[in-house]
Amino acid sequence: MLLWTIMPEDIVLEGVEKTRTFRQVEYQNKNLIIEMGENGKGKVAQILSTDPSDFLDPDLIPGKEISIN
Amino acid sequence: MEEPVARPKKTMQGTKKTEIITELGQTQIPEGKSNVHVLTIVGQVEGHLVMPPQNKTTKYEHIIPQLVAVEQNPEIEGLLVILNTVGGDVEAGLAIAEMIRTLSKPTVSLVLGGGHSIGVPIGVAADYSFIAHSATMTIHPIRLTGLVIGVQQSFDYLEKMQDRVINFIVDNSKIDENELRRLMTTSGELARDIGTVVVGKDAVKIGLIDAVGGVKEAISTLNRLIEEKKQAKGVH
Repeated sequence: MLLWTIMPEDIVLEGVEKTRTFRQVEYQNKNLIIEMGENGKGKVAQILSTDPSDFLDPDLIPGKEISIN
Repeated sequence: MEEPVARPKKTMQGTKKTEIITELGQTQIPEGKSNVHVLTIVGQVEGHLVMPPQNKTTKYEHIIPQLVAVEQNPEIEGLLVILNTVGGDVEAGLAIAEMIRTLSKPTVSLVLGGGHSIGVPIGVAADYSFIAHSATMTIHPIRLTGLVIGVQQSFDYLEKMQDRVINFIVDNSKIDENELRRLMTTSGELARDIGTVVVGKDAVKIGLIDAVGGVKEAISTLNRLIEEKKQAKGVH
């Protein structure tokens, strides 16, 4: 991987080995990959869609916290 | 497949604005329809490796389709790119920069705070670029992470990657190639690295960025470019 950043490499990549769990869910009729957090909450990691307008939806931006059960 | 928890609509609406601010540090898009789309490039430009959670990242798998939507959506007439980035993945950054460069709609970029490293090609990719008075851009050589075999081939590879970004910057700004290479390899400017930090009007002086300005200048330039495009098309 080529990194071109002013941030020191050790800071950028600190904790990169930690495993993070991702799950595919259906939310508002859209398929999303979410990163699992605590208490049934997850954060949007990626939208699985071929419709470009889904990527303009503020409810689906990466980092947005959603509840799943 | 998991079902989302159904939350009462009223609470959703009531808490939405503050929720977005507290959770993401982002504010809700204003209600009135705008003909301009704002794209923020913040933190690290994330590449093929998911960054550890302490990094704020700009994800290319989200930005690229978003730019497709901007190109295709008839309601969007222009794109404003706001940069405050520390750099990141070369391939992902160049991909975003190429998308911005090849957009048919008018594009204006504004560097606020910092537009470092791979932020430089993204900044110059727009039709017209602005930098805030106090904003900085760091130009320094590319670093290779992971396994580096210290042979001529790995040096050649790195140089090739370096040339890719240099060519992109030179093609899309007024900076001279030799000047850019000189700034990139200057020593004594950065504490832990070689390279140069250019601040506000210095970035304009060397031809990297078109003008010093803020949000006012950026929006008025974008509106002017949109108007010019409409007139060129014969739409009044």
